[in-house]
Amino acid sequence: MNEELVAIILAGGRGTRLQSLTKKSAKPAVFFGGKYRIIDFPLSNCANSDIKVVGIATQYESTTLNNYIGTGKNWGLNGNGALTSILPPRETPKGASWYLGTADAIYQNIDWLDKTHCQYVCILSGDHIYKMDYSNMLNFHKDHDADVTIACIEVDINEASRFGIMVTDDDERIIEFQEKPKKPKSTLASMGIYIFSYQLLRKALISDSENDSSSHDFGKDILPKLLSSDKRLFAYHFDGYWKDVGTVNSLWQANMDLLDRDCALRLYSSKNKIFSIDTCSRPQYIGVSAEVKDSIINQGAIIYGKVTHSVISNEVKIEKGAQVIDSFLMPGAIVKENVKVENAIIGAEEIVDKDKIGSKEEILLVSSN
Amino acid sequence: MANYVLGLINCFNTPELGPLTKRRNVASTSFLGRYAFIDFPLSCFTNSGVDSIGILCQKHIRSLTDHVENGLFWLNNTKIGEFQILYDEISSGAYSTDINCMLENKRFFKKANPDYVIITNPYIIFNADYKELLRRHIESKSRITLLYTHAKGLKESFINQYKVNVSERGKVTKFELNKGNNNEGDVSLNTYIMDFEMFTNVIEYSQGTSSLFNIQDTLNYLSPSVLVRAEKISGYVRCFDSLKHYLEYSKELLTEELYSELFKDSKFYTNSYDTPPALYTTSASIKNSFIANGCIIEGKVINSVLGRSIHVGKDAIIKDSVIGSYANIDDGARVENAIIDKEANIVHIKEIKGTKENPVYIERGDTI
Repeated sequence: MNEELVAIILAGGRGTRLQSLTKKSAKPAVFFGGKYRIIDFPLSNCANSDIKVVGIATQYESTTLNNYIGTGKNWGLNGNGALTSILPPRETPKGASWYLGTADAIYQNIDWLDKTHCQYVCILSGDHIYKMDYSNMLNFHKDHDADVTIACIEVDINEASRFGIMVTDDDERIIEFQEKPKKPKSTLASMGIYIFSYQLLRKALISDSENDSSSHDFGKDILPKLLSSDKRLFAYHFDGYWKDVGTVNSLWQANMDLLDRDCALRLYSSKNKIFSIDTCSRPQYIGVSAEVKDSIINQGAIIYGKVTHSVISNEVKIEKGAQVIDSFLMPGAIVKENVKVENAIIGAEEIVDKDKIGSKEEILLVSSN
Repeated sequence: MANYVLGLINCFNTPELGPLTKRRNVASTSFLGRYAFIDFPLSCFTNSGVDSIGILCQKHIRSLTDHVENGLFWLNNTKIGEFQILYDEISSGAYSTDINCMLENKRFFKKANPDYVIITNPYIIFNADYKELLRRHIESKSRITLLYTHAKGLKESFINQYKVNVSERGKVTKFELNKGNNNEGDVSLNTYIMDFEMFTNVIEYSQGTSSLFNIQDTLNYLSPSVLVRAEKISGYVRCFDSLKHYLEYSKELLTEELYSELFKDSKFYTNSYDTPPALYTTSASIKNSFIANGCIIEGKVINSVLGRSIHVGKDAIIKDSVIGSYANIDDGARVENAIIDKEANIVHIKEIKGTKENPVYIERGDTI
C-alpha cells in the first residue's frame, strides 16, 4: 500500500442530542433521506474523491455500524488496492483504553496509518451531510504548502458561536482560531474536516498523548497548539451544501432540505452519487386513495394515505386516511389509519397509532427502538 | 450432508413480447419497474438455498450480461457456488436447442457435479420454494418432477404452452399443446426437478434420438415410459407471452392482494443502481402505481408502472402504461395504454394513446 491520501472517519461519538435515535446505534448509523445512513455521505465522498483506503474509528454502540460498513463493498471501497478498516479501540501490550477524544482516536491508530505509507491524512466526521471532493482540498493543501488544511464554510453571525471560528489573512492562512466563541471575530466556521501532512500530524499526536492536561481533541488541543507553534494552517472555503445533523431539529431540517429541488446538495445529480446498501425492497406502491405531494419516497414504501412535504423511507406503510406532513419517517415505520403525523421524526419500525404532532420549533421524535 | 443443487434458467424457446424483445430476451426485460423477469426465478433459487446457477442463453447475451453481471447477487456462498451464462460458442445453427447448449457446456455440469438439477424459465412467473419442492421430490423417490398449475382463461393465456393430464397417482399421462380450445385446465410451468444422473440421461437420450429435440420435446417423447411426477403450484402464476399480456399483467399486480401473493415474505434480488428515492413535487399526483427510485415526478401518474430515474414533467399525464428507466415524459405530454422503452424521450408529440388490446410501443432511446 502506498496511498498519497488516506481518510479516517470519526464515527465513535454517542450523539446524545439525537436522544433515543442513538440509544442502540452510533450517530453515523442513523437513517437519513429515505434510503441512507449518515455515514453514506463521507464514505461516498471518499469513493468519489478517489480515496481507496478508509479507516472508520468506532466506539459507541458500533455493531450496527460495523455490520453496515462490512468490507466497504457498497461504496466500491473493496476494489484492488482498496482497504476499508473498522478501527475500534483495542487492547495492546500497554493495556486497553477507550478513545479519549477525537485526537486520541487517531493517535491509537498511528500503526494503521504508518502501514498505509500515506503522505496526507484526511480526518472526517461521520455525522455531516454534504458532497465534497477531497482531492480538490488536497490540491489546495499542496498549493499552499500547508501543514494543515481545514475545510470551512460561511455561517450566519448568529450561529457562529456554535462552531470553531477561523480568522484568516488574505492568503487564507489561519491567524486565529476560536473554539465556540461568545464573540466571534468572523463567520468562517470549521466543518471538522481536516487534511494533515501525515508526518506533522504524527508528531503532534504523540506529543499530545504525553500531555496529561490535554482533552485529546482536535479543535480544543491539536489545532490551537499547531497554530501557536507557527505551523501553516489554511482555510479551504467550501460553498456547497453542508449540514451537521447532531440534533433532532437539524436532522429534521436536513431531511426537509432534500425536498427543495434546487437544494445545493444535488442528490439527484448523476455526478458524485451517494452510494448506500440496497435493501432489496419491493417496488414502491402508491395506492388509489393516496395523495403524495412535495415528498421523497423510497422503494418498499406503501402509501394509502396523504403525504405532504415529507421524507419516507423503505418499508414504511401509511394507511388509509392517515396524514403525514412535514415529517421524516425511518424504515419500517407504520402510520395507522386516520392518524396524523406532523413536524415529527418517526423512528425505524415504529407503529404510530395515535396522532403525533410537533412544531417547527420543537420537532417531535417518536422512537422507542 | 446437504444436497448440492444446480439451478438452470432456460432462456431457449421463450416467447417474444412484441418489439420489447427485439434486442433482449424476456429474461432481461424490465418488470415492475426495478426488476428484470429473470430476477424472479433467480431469487427463488437464492431463497431456496440453490448452490450454483447456470443460465442457458440462446441470443441477446449483451442485455443479459448487462443485467446479471457476475451473478454474485444471487449466490448464497460465492466460493462454493458457481454462476455461469451457458451459451453455444460456435452457434450450431439449426441445432440451436437448449439440449445442444447443454451439450456444448457439459464441462460446466461435470464440474458442478450436483446431486439435483432444477430447470426453470424466465417468462412463467411464480414464487417457488424449491427447498420444499426438492424435499418432496426426494421423498417421492421420483426421477423427474414437473411443476404445473391449474389455470383459467386458457383460451387467451398459456397459448402454445403444454397442457398436462395428471393421473390420480400424480403422474403426467399426456402433454398437449394449448391451442386455446378449453378455458380451464392444468398447464406445465416448464419447470423440472431431477437427479443429476437422470438429467445427464435425458440429454444423452435426446441427442441420440434427434438433434432437433429440445428438452420439452424429449420429455414428451419419453413420457409416459419414464414416469414424470406432477407437482401442483397454486397462488400467483402468469405466463408473460405477449406485449398485451405484459401490460395487462404488470398493471394487474397493482393491488396489494395480488402482489403479496407473488412476493409472499420473500426477498427478490436485483442489481443496484444507487439512485436516490423518488421525488414528488407540489404539482405531482399519483394513483395506483409502482414507482422506482430516482424518478422525479411533477405530473400525473395513474395505474402505471415506472422504472428508475424517469422524469415526468409538469401537466404530463401517464395512464395505464409501463415506462422504462431513464425515460423523459416532457411537460404536458399525455401517455395512455403505452409501453415506453428505456431512455425514450417524449418531447414533440403530446399525445401517445394505445388501447388495452393494442398498446403503443415507443422504442428505446427514441426522441419523438
